Formats: sequence, C-alpha cells, structure tokens
Amino acid sequence: MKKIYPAIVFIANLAALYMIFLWAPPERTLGDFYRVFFIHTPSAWVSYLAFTITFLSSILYLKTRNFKWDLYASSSALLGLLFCIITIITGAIWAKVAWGLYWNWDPRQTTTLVLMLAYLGYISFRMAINDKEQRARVSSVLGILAFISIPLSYLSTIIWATIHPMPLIPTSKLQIGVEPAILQTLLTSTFAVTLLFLWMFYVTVEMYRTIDTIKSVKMENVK
Amino acid sequence: MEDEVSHNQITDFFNDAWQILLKDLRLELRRKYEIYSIIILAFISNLSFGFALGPSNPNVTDFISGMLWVPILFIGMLGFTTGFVREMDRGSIEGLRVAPISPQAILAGKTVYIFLLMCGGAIIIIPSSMAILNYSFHSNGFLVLLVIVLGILNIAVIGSIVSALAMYSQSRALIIPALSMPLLPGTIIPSILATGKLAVGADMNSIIPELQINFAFLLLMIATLWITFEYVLYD
Repeated sequence: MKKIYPAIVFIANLAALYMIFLWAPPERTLGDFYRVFFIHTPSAWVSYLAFTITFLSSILYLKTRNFKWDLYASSSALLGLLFCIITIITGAIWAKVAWGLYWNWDPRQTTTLVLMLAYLGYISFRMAINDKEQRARVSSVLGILAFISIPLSYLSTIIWATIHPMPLIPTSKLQIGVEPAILQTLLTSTFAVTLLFLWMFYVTVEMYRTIDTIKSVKMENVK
Repeated sequence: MEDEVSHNQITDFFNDAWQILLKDLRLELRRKYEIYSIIILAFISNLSFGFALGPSNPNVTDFISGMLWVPILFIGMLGFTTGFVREMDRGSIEGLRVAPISPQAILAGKTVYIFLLMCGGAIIIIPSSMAILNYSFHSNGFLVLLVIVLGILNIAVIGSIVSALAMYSQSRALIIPALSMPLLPGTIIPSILATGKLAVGADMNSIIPELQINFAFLLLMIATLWITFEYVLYD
C-alpha cells in the first residue's frame, strides 16, 4: 500500500487537473478565471479537516499522554496551515476577478485570515518550548482553543452580511444552480486534494518521527 | 447532605478565587508605576487620536470604536504579562500548584484581576476620550457599557489562559501577542462592530448578532478552559 498510494494520489490529481482545465466548461460571467475555485474550495475543506484532526488529536493526547497523538496534532496543524494559506491566496485571486479587489474585508476572508493566524501562533508556540512533554501538554490545550476559530469562520457568512458565495450544498431553501460538469469537477478535485493531504500527512508524521529518533540517538551518544 | 457538600464546594471556589484576586490586587498596588503606565497610555492614545482628527471633527463617530478598543486592548496586554507569567518569573507558581485550591478557582481569580485592570483602564479612556474628542453616545450609554463590559470579560478570559500558556515558553513577553491575537478576533471583531453601530445611533436590535457572538464565545471559552486548564497548570 505504501508504494501504491502515492501512485493513486498522482493519478487522482492528474485526473482532477484534466477536469479543472480541460473538461469543465467556462463560466458565463467569469470565464476561465473561475477555475481557481476548484483549488480554493478543496483547499478550504482540507484545512478544516486538518485542523479538526489537530483538535481531536490534542484531546486524545491529554487523555492518553501518548506522544503519537501530539505528533499527529502538530503534523496536521502544519499541513492545515499550508492549505489555509493556499485558500487565502486563491480566494484573493477569485475576489480580484469577481469583486475587483484582492481584499474586501469580507467576514469569510477575515475569519479565514484569523484561522491562519491562530495556527501560525500554535506552530510558533510549539517552537518556543524545549521540553517535549511540556510542549505536547500545553500545545494540546492551545490546539483545542484554536479550534474555536473554525465555527466562527464558518458561521461568519451566515451571521454577518457577506459577498462570499453561500455553501454549495445548501441545507435550507437556498438552491444554487450548478452545472453538472462543474459539480463533478469540484467533487473530483476535492477528493484528489483530500488524498494528497492524507499522503502528505503520512509523510510529515514519518519525517517528524525520524527526527525524534535521530534526536534521541544523539542524546544517548552524548550520555 | 449532597446539597450541603455542593454548596460548600461553590463557596470554597469563590473564596479561593477571591483570595487569588486579593493577592494580585495587593501586588499591583505595590507596583504603582504600572497603574501610572495605564493612565499615561490611556491619555496618550486619546491625545494622539485627538491630534490626528483635529478639534470637533464631525466624522469622529466613524472612528470611535477603534479609538476605544485599541487602548483597552493594549491595557489588556499589560495585564496578560502580569498574570501567570509574573508567577513563573517570581517562582511563586510552585506555591499556587501545591496550594489546596482548584485550578479553576486560580484561573477565575486571575481572570477577574485582568478584568478589573481593564475596566479601570476603560473608566479612564472612555470619559477622557469623550471630553477630548467632543462626542457622546446620547441615549446608547447603557448599551455601550454592556458591549464594553462583555468584550472586556472575553478579553480577560483569553488573557488569563494566554498568560498561563506563555509562562512555559522561552520568550514569554514576545509569545503573548502571537498567542492572544489569534484568539482575540472572536470577541474583538463583534465588540468593535457593535460599538461602531452604537456610536452612530443604532438601537439594541441592530447589535443583537454581535452580542450573541460575544456571549457564545464567552461560554465556549469558559467551558473549554474549565475542562482543560488543569492540564496547563500541572505537569
């Protein structure tokens, strides 16, 4: 599976890229510029997923004191931050084309920036603590607190007036007319980016595990 | 019998929190220069805004929310560093850890201390700003007070946990803004929006969404900290 999985990720992302740039039809008002949306939405979804993993892993670390969960929490936060930055950049490109400005102080844009800052703070905080046990314990609490930014980000478009598009899969009477080809492309790209995230997550966890092993071997040699 | 036990626990909780608060207030009163710093900060910020806007600027109401919240937030930052970080620097954190006090009571005492410090700052900032910049909230005075007290309470809760987390890091004073800024927008954004609306004469109905968010945020923070704070305080 370790060897096959990267190949699956590669094929899925290749298929998604084909659908994004060649298969999906141009949009009526935004033309080809709207294709950035197929990167923006999956990145946003993956960043929420990554931060949820950080939140759950933080709870599990505090409960079990198993360093495995701390490793998952920090790796996931790092990748979540990366995808959050991609979301903000692609969102700004979309905003420039659709609304004329890169930054509109829209509630969703602003709260996503806050979300990014929250996890940037989480990662900086981890770097500022040397003791492994103390770092894991205290940053787990921060991992739980930082998660509060996520419902705020999601609810911002519902509570405050926004120019950001409403959720694509509506829960109420709102029904947005989406062409089947666009919806299929969006679902494929979301699936492909999720697979990519899971692979990156595995690689990051293994990388941190190796760094930990090297550090402990070095410490033993010093003793 | 069970009722009596739970009643005693509640009384103990408030007594312990009160003792922590008294201890911090006594320490603060010994360090009068910190109180003077707060007063100076409040006046400097008002004077700076006054010079920037000029006398009797008709558009002053558009900027009131920012002009009030920026100095209040900075006073909060001063309070954050004097919370748990000071206990760690003085070595008295070990005393708190072994004291027969629940961690939640310690957190509550510290939160109320930061809250009072910020309220003290707000008491200086708001009237002096009204006098220097020539504006008033007319009939919205009570609502402004409600928004400010709720916002300060939220900031105090965030400040006490940020101070507790920061005491473990190497660069304590530097990590506080990095830790607090991501948590603060959840309350600062609705507070600024609500104050801005009230400054231009909006009524209670128009600030309900902001009040709801601030209440929800406060409850969420208190619930989370109630469960997790002992992991922060004890090894």
